[in-house]
Amino acid sequence: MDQGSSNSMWYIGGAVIVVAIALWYFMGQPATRMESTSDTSTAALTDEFNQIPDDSAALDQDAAASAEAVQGL
Amino acid sequence: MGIVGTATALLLTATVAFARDDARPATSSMERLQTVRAEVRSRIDTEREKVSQRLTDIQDKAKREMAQRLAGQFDRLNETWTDHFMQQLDTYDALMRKIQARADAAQSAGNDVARTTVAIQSAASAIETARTAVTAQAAKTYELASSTIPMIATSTADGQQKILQSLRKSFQTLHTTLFKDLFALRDGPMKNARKAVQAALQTLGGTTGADGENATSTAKRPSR
Repeated sequence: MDQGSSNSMWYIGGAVIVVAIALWYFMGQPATRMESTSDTSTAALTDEFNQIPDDSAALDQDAAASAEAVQGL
Repeated sequence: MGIVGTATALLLTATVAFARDDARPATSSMERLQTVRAEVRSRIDTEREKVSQRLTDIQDKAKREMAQRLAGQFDRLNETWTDHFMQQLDTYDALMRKIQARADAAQSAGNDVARTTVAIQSAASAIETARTAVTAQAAKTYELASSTIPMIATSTADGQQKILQSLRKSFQTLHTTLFKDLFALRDGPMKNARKAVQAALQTLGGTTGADGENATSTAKRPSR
């Protein structure tokens, strides 16, 4: 193997490592980066919790609509 | 080149592992539901075909179409609601992971998080109990049994009337059973999971250091 070929392999190797590190940063760590930038204070988590609907009314409505459809037969 | 290759492979493998780990909880619970449903479908397909055949005895086209719609409606509603409940549990689960992260940070800063840890464990247990209940509910079927449609002279007005009366009664029974089960799920395990997550949040709010300071001064109480 001559000197030029050996240098090329090291350049290619270096390029692969750079690409792998870039992938690691942009794809492998989204959750960590989100944590550090988004608001995860207790108040923010409480707001997030309050936005999850408990669906009591929606299920009642489905029950009423379904009962009506049966009566219509 | 061997070292370079190994390093690259390790980095790429770790990247893929992180990405998969992030998606795992939601995917596995929904996959569990899909598997249960596939088993149910394979069990009831023949009966469903028989019912479909029997419903063609109804001469009034509008009533026949309505009966055909109702015949599949209860299983569809069960599917919709169990899917919805499972997604809701995944959301609670994601929120609990954030609560855990904040508790871990407070503990690392030297604060006492014992009460929060107990509340987190209690919520995790309530969520898992609800998941089991939702999966059990998804395995139930609310199909019309072909045997409930009377074998009578379908060409007479009286025969038609009897078929419709019998169908209405059967659909009412299916409706009552389905919604009794769904209400029990909503008002039992689902409500318990919600309350447990809420309790964990409130406990976290009272933990010194959860927000990098005394968190009781900033946390709002959940509305429910």
